[in-house]
Amino acid sequence: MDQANIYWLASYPKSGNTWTRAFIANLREDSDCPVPLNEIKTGAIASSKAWIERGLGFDVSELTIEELESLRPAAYLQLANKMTRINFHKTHDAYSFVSNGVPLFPTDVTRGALYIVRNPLDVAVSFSHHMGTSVDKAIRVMEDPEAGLAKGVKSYHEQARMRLMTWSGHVDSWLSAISIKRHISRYEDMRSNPLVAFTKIANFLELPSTEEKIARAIAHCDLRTLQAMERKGLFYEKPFKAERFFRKGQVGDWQTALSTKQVDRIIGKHGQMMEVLGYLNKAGSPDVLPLPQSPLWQAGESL
Amino acid sequence: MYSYTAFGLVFHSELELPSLPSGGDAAADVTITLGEINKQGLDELPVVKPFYHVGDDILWLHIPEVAKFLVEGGRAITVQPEPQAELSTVRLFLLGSALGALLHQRNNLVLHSNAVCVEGGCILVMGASGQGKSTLAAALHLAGHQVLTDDISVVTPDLLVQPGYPQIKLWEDSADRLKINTAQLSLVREPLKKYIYPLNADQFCNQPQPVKAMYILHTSPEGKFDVELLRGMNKLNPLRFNTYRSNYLEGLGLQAKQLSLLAKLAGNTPIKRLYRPEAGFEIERLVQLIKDDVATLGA
Repeated sequence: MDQANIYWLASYPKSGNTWTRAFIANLREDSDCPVPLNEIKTGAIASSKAWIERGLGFDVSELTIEELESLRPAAYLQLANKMTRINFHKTHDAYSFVSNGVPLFPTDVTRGALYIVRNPLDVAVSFSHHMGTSVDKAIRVMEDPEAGLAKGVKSYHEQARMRLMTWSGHVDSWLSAISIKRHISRYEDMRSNPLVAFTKIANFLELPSTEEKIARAIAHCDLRTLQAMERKGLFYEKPFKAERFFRKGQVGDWQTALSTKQVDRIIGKHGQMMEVLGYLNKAGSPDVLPLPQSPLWQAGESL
Repeated sequence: MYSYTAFGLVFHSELELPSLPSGGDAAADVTITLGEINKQGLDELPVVKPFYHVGDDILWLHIPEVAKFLVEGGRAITVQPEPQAELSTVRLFLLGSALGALLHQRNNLVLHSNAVCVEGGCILVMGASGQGKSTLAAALHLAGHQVLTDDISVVTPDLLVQPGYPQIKLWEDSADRLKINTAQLSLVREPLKKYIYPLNADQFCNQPQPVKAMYILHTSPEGKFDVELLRGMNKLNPLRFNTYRSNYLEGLGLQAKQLSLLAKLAGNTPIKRLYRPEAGFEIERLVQLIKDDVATLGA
């Protein structure tokens, strides 16, 4: 029985995951009107306790973080078994292994993973707005190997704890997940060359990929369209502390928002990965638009 | 053997269950025994999943590293703890998923809901985990209402809600908001900061009650307080959605019976969606909203 029914849509927070899901929703809907924000439904987020609980068949609300994590692979196996078509599920989890060495995302259920990556200089700015904290705090979170979301024990979380690792660790974990088929897409390429970037995404995800359909889907999830929809009505994915979800979406926003010290700190910690991804030029300085000659993409598109 | 009572039943149990009131000398409706479960035939049941197997009148449940449970005919639970498992954890799942299955087998409605006394009966407040049901139950308790049950509401075929057992489980954040001191309270389970808040005899209602109204608690991202009456067919789905461990029903062959009982309950009772703001707790306002709505119900 073929269980490989899930495409994981993976990213570090604030790297373009929602925008990508808006594109997928619009491509599938294929209509004259943009899909309303709160109807952008691909699948449940991988860390959704309600979804995991459906897979397991018993109460998970009083399991510890570690117990729940070690049960997630079994839950996904069960859920994938019941799927009758390809499913897309978002995740912010790093690609990791649970207590007994089994991958969190079982190979058997994984049709592939789309990994969306964004310049950490811009991620830091966006993350700070999203969390309602200082940029320095965001930078520290991105450096923390134990960073995670939904990990407190004083109240109920609707999601299981998501391991973020450091920003570099997160990217590295997915780049190293060689047992599953992956496509890496850079936010900056999706902005500068959407037709090319989104066509590659559509092809990878086995979605309709005529130029006409893709162009229309891209137009429906244009940032200005998303921002206009958000102005008209609340977007449920916006956290309480953030002013808006679709804030600027600007490539290179970091140039005005970060101090030299902050830029140096981020490059100091994440420079190696930035180089791999094409976010540092040969002189080791950040580039506003990543060079297309990144070594990663010379190795081939689908990994 | 220890004797207990909960949900209108008398349990004779080999496992101590300190949360439950004593069942006195009454004959047992349900026996709970510790022992090795005979797995013969369990793999051939109609519904076989990694962690539970279900057939007509029988359910086998495996909570990894905690225990296996065999729930039979609404009358017996066999508990086989895993080596190294803490008894407090075994109890948690015994009184949760295993007991839920047993109560289903006895043809009751089992809902993800608390039940709190009001004039002439009780109200049920149901909702998904984390929506604030227990916090609300505690707030209504502090406002002087007796509590029938916190986590699970059992409605017998005569449409009465049965008393559970006298405690409310509260997360630390909720306890803080309600200004409840947790220093003397036991933890449900280390390391989770969730506490057992015991209710004394005056605070706990130990008599079955008719249902005056049912509420489904929702968070409103828009930050609204609202009450929305459901009508007709729209009344049924929220009840089905909030049925506890509904995944067991298909294997137990109980879906049709459940639906018929749900319809009976829904037909007689006002069911309303209750919206509260997602952030900025305002529990007093929520309590007032409910009190005001209950006052409109009439005798």
